[in-house]
Amino acid sequence: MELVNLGYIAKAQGIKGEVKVRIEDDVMNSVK
Amino acid sequence: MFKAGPLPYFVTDARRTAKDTYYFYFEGVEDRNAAEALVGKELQIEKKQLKKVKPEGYGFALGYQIVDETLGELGTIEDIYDMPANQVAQLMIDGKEHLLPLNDTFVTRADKRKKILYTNLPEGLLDIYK
Repeated sequence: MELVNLGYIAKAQGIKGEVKVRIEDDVMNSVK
Repeated sequence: MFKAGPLPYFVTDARRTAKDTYYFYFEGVEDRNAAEALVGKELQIEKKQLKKVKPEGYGFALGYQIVDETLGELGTIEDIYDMPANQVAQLMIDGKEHLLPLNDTFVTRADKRKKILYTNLPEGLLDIYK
């Protein structure tokens, strides 16, 4: 199982407990 | 002193609204208060799980040019936000931030090869930014 570090959870929003994560370009590129 | 290691949370749902923006729902995190407790925590996820989450709505259009049928070339989409009614594109026009609605009424066509969204924005929409 290969794990990717997405960085930090930026924000909680909505009423259902969703969390927002903004992922840096270098991480996104490593996932492609 | 005890140092806690990573805690596993099971992802029950995930959405991707832009090239780099994801929303996750975790098992056991059922409301906003529980989600607030996770803000600032580092997140790791299995690579293949992340790949499965495809952009929804106009999330694919981050970095696209907006060309309006009446107004011509407006600029590049710098960010995309989710609003209750629809997604909105953030772009800079003449150095000012503009938020433009992204929905099937105003977006007439997407050229994914040229990375252009063609729009037919309502008359006067940009005037509110003057």
